[in-house]
Parts: sequence; structure tokens; C-alpha cells
Amino acid sequence: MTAGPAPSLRAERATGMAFVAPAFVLFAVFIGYPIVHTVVISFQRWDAISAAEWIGLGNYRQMVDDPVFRRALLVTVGLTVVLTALLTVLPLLVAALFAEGWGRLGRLYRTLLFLPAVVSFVVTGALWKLLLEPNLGNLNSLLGKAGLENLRQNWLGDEQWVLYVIVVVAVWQQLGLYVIIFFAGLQGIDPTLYEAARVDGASGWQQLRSVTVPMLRVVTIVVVTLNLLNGIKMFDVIWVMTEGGPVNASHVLGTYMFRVAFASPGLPDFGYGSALSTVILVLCLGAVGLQLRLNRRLVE
Amino acid sequence: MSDNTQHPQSSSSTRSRFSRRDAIKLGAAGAAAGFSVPLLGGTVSAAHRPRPARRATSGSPATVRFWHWYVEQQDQLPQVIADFEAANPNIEVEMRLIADVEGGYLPALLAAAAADDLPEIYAPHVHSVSFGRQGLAADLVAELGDEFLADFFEAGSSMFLLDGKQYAVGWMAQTMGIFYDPDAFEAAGIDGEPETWDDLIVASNTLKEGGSLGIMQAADNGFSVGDTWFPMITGFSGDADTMRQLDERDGATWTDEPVVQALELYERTVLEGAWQDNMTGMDQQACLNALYAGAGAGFYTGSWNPTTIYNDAPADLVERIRVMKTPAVEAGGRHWTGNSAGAAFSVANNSPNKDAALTFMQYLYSSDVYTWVMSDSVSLPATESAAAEVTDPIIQTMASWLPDGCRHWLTGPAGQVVADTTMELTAGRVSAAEAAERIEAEAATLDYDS
Repeated sequence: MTAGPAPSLRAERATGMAFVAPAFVLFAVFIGYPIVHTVVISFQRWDAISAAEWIGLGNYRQMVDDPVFRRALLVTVGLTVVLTALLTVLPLLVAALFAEGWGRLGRLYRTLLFLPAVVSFVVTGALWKLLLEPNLGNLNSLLGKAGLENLRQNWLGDEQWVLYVIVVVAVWQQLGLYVIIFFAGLQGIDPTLYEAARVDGASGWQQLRSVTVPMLRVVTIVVVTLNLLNGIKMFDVIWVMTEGGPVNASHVLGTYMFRVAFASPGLPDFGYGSALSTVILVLCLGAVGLQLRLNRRLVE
Repeated sequence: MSDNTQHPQSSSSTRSRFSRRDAIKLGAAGAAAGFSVPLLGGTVSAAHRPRPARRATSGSPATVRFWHWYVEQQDQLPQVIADFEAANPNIEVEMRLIADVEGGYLPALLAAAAADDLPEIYAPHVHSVSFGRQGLAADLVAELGDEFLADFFEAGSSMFLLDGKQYAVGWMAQTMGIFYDPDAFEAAGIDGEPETWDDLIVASNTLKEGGSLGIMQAADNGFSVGDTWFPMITGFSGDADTMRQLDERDGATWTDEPVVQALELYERTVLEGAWQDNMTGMDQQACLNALYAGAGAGFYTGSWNPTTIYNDAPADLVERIRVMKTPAVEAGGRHWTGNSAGAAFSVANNSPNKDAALTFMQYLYSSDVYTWVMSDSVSLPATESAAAEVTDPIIQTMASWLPDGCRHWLTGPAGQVVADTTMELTAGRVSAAEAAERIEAEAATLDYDS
């Protein structure tokens, strides 16, 4: 029995493209085209029911003078930075603790930590809204019963507290997911490295700093990128809890874009909403660019 | 044994052979083509895609898409549709109820409007006049005649009227009032119902002294707060047309005396404790929950709530709950109440099935059908004849206030800036005078012609 002729490189490429074509078409139709179209609309004035009018950079100039946009941009960047820091450092520390070996208890705790991650953002927002209701919510009720009435706050209705609350809810929701990611990464570290470090007299903290963190660089880059993207695109949990209030204090770019495009009285402003979407897109591309750059440095 | 037997995989022949690998390649290419072509066809813009021929000439099949968010009638409307379809077998009514107005219904409606493919009958929200200006909403005067519209409460219908053209008709009228627990009032020693806002401030503080949250308003957003202070404007102006003038910037400005007086009165209700503590953190549901739990003694809200209260409140509260009029701005003054038909229906002007839609509209609003739907769902009707047939005592009471009605929400472009500034006033960041100035400064720059 003799083997058949080896397929040519061109034939192999054609086969590969045939398999990739459906996914590419889906991407082009449902992701690529809407993105391009949104950017085009961002240079127009369009209220959905009359003809779109080309206004060049008009929407972007409007942004510069819009105090709500400036505030939303600041909040978006601030939340993204804070949440990225918290949701990178905390999960790493927790995962390192779990890696010490807690047996069945460790598995149980990891499962409990991960549970909030499987709850949708909308349900999370609705649940926390009930918990944080200022007069009858569980948190203020518990504080009152514990004799801590002076700690009760109007958590979602006070500009001073609302952003802190959003950070707490986001960390609660996502901590477990990143613990699992880091924990999986830790399983891939050669244990002899730790043995060598111990032989050299390294403490636990030194082992974390000198072995764990460097060996988890790739995972850390992924986690940082995911956090950046999630922060920039934040929408549902904030919309459910506050709709950007009180007094626009908790608006991020996503919620403000939604309000402009769909939830304002009067006709929608799809042009300005598209411009806000484009800003989100640019920020996301920046985050991805950062990841690529970090990865390249790692390879080098 | 013959040498001529050739193995099927032999490479010695120059003939091309169709191998298993070739079959896989061909199948993949075919699947890709078969999958891609419909998708590529789907990218043709809506403007060029031929619409299915659906014009409803007499007897020819037609589909009437019927979009709204009115959960109050979710049990009654399917039966109405079934009865209509039985009587009109050529017309199919496809009801789509999207309960989440901001998150689900409005995006779907606006997307349909952008594609010039509005459903045949739809709840227009605040867009009836805007759609009408662009020719997207049918003029119901022209289509159905004055007789169809004669029975509607004028205050509700006026919101959908422009230059003599009626672009929507009310489905449920709305009036505002204070739902309260009379036992809580009696326990606090409050005799009767507060007549003025000053009386309300006193009553609420008295209730609070007993540990109650007092009278509540949903102040988590500026639109709900507008329900509270807009009727105060009419109270000071004495003219039910004032809110329209402000909304359309037609002879009134936000620094006019009645507006400033209303803002000052509203500010006083906030500062002097008419409302519950932490009101900016309580939405409508939170206030209802507090009422049900006995934590709050009263809740300023609208006539869309009785059904919810009857379904969700404890049975003993349902038995005794009452509703009082919106307080007057001064003793002996008129109890102006928010009165709009926030729930309404429009007909798509450009639909090939417009005739079928109008047929269904006439059926929907026919006396027997509409009266039954409104009564069975404990809703406040938008027509006088149906309002006269209401049996629920709370709805009867609130219907009797309709003649004292005035607008309590804005449809024009100033709505957002008014809502935002009102929230700043509620949060104590600006004074009443500053709020009026700020609203006027922004409102003056907006386009009121689109």
C-alpha cells in the first residue's frame, strides 16, 4: 500500500480558509460592520427618525463641553484603575493562600468564592440594591441592630458613597473568577523552584515576590487586560443599581451612552451616543494594545 | 492471478481520484457557501429589502404588530386579541409586551423607528409628536374621525396633539395622589387629610415622631421628582396650559414666577421633612415595600399602582388603604393633580397594514371592550364613558380628579436638564432660585422644532 500524494500548501490554505470562513463572516456581519457603522454615525447628527446629517467632529466637540461626559470619563478611568489594582492583587494573594494546601476546605472556599461570578450582573445589581436600600435594607438594619446607627448611610443615593459601593459590588462579583485563574496558574509553577528558594532561606513573602509573581507574569497580563476591559465597558450592574445617579455621580461611559441613545426624554441622540461608544472602543483598543506590548516584552 | 487488479489508493495511475480528503474539502466549502450566502444577503440594507406584501385590503391576510409595556393588562389583552381575531379571521394580531421600558422597550421601538418599520400599533412613550412630525405616526383625527376621539379626556389627549393632528390616544389616564394607611394617621393623631403642602409637612413630621418614615416620594431620579413639583407650577399659575408652554417653550420660561414659587415650595418640602429620610436612595418599589411593611405611612405616586398594591400588599392593608388628593399650594386652592395619559397607543403611518391596525384600534377602544379591560385590570381609563363605569373605589376616586389635571411630565428636549437640576435641588446642591436659572439657561439653547 502506498500513501496518497501530499497536499500542496495552497490546497491546505484553501481548506483552512474554508473552515474559518463562517466564523469570519459572522464576525464581519455582527461585530465588524456594527463597529464601523457606529464610528460613521459618530460623525453625524441622527435622531433615529429623520435623515442623518454629517457634522464632522461636532459630537466630539460637544463632548469637550459636556460636564456629564467629563465626569463619566473620570469615573470610568478611576473605577478601571482601582478595580484593576484590587482585582489583580487580591486574587493573587488569595490564590497563593489556597496554594498552601487547604484540602477539601480549600475546594469548598474556592467554590464559594467563585459563586458570585456565575450570577449575572443584572441580578447582582438588583440584589445589592435591595441590600443597600437606606431605610429597610439589610445592611443598614444590621448596623442599627448592632448599635452602629451612625454608620448607616444612603449608600446608593449619596454621591459620597455610591462609587465606593460600586467598587465593593464589583470586587464581590469578580474576585472568585480571578482567584481561580491565578490558582490554575500557580499549579503550573515547578515546585522545585519553591524548594530551592526554601533551601536558600527565603520566607513565604520572599517566595511570593521572587518566585510566584515572576512565574505568573503571563497570567497577570491576562488578568490585568480582562480587568481593564471590564472596567472600561462597565454598564449593567451600575445601570440596575443607580442608572448613573444620584445626580449623574455614578455615570460611566457605558451608562451615559445608554442614557443618551435610549433613555432620555425627547428624541434619541444616536450620533452623540455613537461618539461615546467610539470613545469606549478607543479605550478598549488601548487596553488591548497595552496587553500586546507587555506580551512582546515578555517574549523578548 | 491477474496483475490487472489495482488497489483503489494506487498512485501509479495519472487519473485524479476523489479521496476522502477531497470529500471533506468539498463538504467544508459547501457548508461555508451555504452558511455565508444567507448572511451576506442579510446585509442588504433595510431600505432595499423588499417588504412582504401585507397590505390589508378587505379579506386579505394582514398582521398587526402590537407593542407595549402595559403589564397591567397582560391578562386581559390576549383575550381581547383572541376575540378580535375570531371576528376578523384575516387579521392576525401579534402582541409584544416588553415590561422593561427603558432597558428593553424603548431601544426596540427606536430601532424600529430608525428602520422605518414601526409596529402597526405601539406605545409611543414620549415620542408620539416627534414621530408624527416625521410622518411616522398616523393622524388619528384624519383616520378615525372626531367621533372616535370625542370620549377621551382632553388633558390626556392634548399631549399627543400638534397643529390639530392627534398622533396618539391615551390608553390609561394617570392622576397622582398619596396612597396612605389611615390607621397610621389615626395612631399619630392626624385628623383628616392634609389640605395644603404645609399641612403635609406637619403631618409627615408628626408621623416621623412615632418612628414612621412619614410620607414618601420616589426620589431616585429627576423624572419621579417632576411628578411632585410640576403640579405645583400649575397650582401657582392657575393655568393647566402652563406646563405645555414650558415644555414647548411657547410663552413661558423656567424663571417665570410660578416656576420659581413651585421650586421654592418643593425645596421647602424637602428641607422641612415632608418626605422620608434618604429619599434619593429609594425608588418606587422601595417606597411600596416600606408602605407594605408599615414603615411608611403614605406614598405619593400615581394611579398605575392600585393593581400592584392589591397584588402585593398584605390583605389587611389592601382592605383599609386610601388615597388622598395632591395637596394644594395654598388653603382653599385647587388640588391640581398630575394628569396625563402616559400610557397611549399610536398607529404606524407607513405600515402597509395600517387599515388592519385601525380596525383593531377601533375594536380595542370600543365601549364594551375598553371598559371591560380597564375595569378588570383595575386601571384608570382615558375615556369618560369608561371612567364612569369604574367600580374600584380607589380608581373611582382618582378618576374624579381628572378635571383638575395638569401635565406632570415633559416630552420636549428640556426634560433631561430639568430632571438633572431637580435632583441637584433635592440633594441640596443648588437652591430653588439657582435651579430655575440653571434650567432656563440650558433650556434656552435647545432645539424645540424637531
